[in-house]
Amino acid sequence: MTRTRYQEMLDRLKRDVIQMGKLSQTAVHNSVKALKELDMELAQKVIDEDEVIDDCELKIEKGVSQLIALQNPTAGDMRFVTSCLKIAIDLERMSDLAVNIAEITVNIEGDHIKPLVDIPKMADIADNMLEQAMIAFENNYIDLAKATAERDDEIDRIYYATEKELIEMMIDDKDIITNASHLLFVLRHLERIGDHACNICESVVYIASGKRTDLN
Amino acid sequence: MPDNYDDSIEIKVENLDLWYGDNQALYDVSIDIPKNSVTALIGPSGCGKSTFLRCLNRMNDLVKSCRIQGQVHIDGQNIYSKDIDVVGLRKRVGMVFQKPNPFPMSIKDNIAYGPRIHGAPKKDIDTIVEEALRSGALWDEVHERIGMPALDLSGGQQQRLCIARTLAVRPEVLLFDEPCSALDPISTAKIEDLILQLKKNYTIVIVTHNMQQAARISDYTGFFLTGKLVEFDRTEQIFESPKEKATEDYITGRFG
Repeated sequence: MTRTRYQEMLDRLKRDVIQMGKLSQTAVHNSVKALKELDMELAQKVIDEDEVIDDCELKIEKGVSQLIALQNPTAGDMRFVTSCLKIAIDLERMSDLAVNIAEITVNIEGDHIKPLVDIPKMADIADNMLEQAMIAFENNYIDLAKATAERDDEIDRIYYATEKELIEMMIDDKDIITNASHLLFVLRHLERIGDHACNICESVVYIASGKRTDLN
Repeated sequence: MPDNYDDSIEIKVENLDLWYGDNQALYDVSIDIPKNSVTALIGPSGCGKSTFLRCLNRMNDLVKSCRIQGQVHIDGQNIYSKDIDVVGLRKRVGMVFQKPNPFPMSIKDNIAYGPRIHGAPKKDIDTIVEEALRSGALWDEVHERIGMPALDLSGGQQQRLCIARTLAVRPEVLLFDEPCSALDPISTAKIEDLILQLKKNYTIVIVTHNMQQAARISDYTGFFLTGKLVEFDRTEQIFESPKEKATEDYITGRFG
């Protein structure tokens, strides 16, 4: 193997992206857990730890810039390096959405208007999509990336059904409008998290094959 | 003219094999080089890229032990057919080398040398010299002193003079063999800009060890390895998603 320093920089970048993926996944997971259990402490933890994830993004951005400036990555390396930047942006957005969910939890007054079933189900799928997308990234698994992106349809189905249900509940009972609209936003945030997971899957396909695909 | 003649193709090479004595240096190379494009040939030392370039204006004829099989058509004409005028061919297919090699005479005489040999009338010489120096992006720097010795110019200027000298005989194709390897980055940038200008009127083939140069200025890239053309494609394709692993290994610097 030649170009040892180059390879070290590429390896470090990959480790940083994988690490950021784990932190974002934890943020998404905890934000929904806090919402379901109305655990204000956990919600606050998600909000506080966002800074660490933002730092990860900056570190990745710096690693990408250095690789481009110093090493002239081409071909598969170039696809990997530019995609790392995109993936970091997706992960950062996902963490911000998790923070948004945590902030909603902090602002919810009293108990939930109904037992939360669909939202945690949606969150489980989104959480799992992110985990699988990052496994696909780590190992260049094109098939896993494609299969993972397909699960976004399940999220969308739950999103539309639950949205409809919440609107009907608000029509029936004006007193729940505040909390129900909070939940509408949570739905929207989870749906967006699924979309970002799809983006990561698209990046994996591009890295591994050079093909730009629309999996969303 | 070949049966499958396509007038958007300037250079058509079919199944080219080449031997130096018993050593085969090129194996079954086929390539279509489009008109008014820049094609870069890359590959490690000894891969055959310069040998291939020299086949395009029959420079290898000068190597005694050299034997060639296959066909090279330029503008539809087989340049290895018996009735071809090799001097005329080299007028049509100009070449610029690694080290600038001006003749030990004035700037003007360097440019005028070719046209004079090819019988240009004396009254036209000044115009030809000015046109060639302008096309070679050198006129503004030297027009007040074209009587001075060409060897007094800087390395980058000498190389542009050699390009202008090639242009003075109005070729169709320009071959560049590592034209910037002896130049600093600023002179290199000037030559690269010039090459991009020239492709409007000429078909250009350039051999380079500088991969980023190939990426910057070429439309097509061919990767040679041990005498074989491993891959030939649009430059964006080669540098973004090459099809062959050997190409990927070479351009990412992971060879050996």
